[in-house]
Amino acid sequence: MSCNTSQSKLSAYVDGEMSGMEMQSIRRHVSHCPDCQGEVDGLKSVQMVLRGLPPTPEAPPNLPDRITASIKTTRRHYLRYALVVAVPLCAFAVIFYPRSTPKPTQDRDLVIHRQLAKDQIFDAGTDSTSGASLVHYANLESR
Amino acid sequence: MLSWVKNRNGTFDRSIAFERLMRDSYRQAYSVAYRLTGDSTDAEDLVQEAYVRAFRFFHRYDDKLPFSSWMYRIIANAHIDLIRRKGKIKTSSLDHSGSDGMQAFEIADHSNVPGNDMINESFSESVQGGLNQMNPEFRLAVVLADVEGLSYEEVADIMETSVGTVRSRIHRGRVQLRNYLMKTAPESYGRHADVL
Repeated sequence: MSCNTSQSKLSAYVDGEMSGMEMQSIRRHVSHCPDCQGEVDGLKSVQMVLRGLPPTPEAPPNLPDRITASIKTTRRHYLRYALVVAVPLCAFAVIFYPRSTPKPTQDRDLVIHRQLAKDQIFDAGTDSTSGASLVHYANLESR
Repeated sequence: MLSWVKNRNGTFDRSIAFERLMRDSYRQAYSVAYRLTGDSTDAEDLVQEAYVRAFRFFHRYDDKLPFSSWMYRIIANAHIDLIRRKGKIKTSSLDHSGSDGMQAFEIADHSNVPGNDMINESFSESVQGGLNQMNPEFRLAVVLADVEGLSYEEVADIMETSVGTVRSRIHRGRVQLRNYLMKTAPESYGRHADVL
């Protein structure tokens, strides 16, 4: 393994973030290469410095309340934006929506059927569905 | 699982669920934000912006995954956007050389300040200064791996890139930080290196 190829892998080697085969290969190389050994030591010391950093300052206790307030403000902003877009769209729809819509086919067929039945009664003097004489209906109405 | 967060009607309450997760995770989020920005006010702004974004896209959150990992990803993206917006990307390489071939940083060396406590405090400031000088992508990878202790795979998932790229970013970030500390706080850094 040349030093050039191992350099980019030394951090992963320090972290144990590679396969066992790769680890063995780099370990063998580092044990014979003073430059890479120095590089590994340097990376380890940087890692140790970063891990040993003192804790960051505490988050302000009122931060969650500020986040909640910010979310509410943003939601109101989006709602206002949505209204600005939605109102003209609704107005457009109301103005340009066709006023007389054709009735569904089924309703139209029913109306035609009823009209035909009436015509049949008128023509033949009998009920189109039962076949009874209209005299029968006239008697019922007179009671 | 968030299914326990239900309102009186027995339906899932998105706002309550989010608020609970936010209150559980904001300290950790602030800590990462502080390491990324190096400043408490910027860290607060970043956390606030990240949670507002998180709430907007909360319907996309898969609660089988840790909420903190999802938040790290949002913080990372918000951080990049924030520094772009502020025009603060002064990501001069830490390997940058001056005209005389020497590294051209003009940063006070606090490593000779007497007293152990002062040295520790000033040295941690130097480390934070080194992080601030780093390319934002290197900085994020180094902070997540070395400060937060995440695996390369987790970092790759958060940064939405390959493990190979994460490996390279962490390595380059560490090398830059080491060079920076050797230049700006050689004695303090030397003491840490000698411990090994």
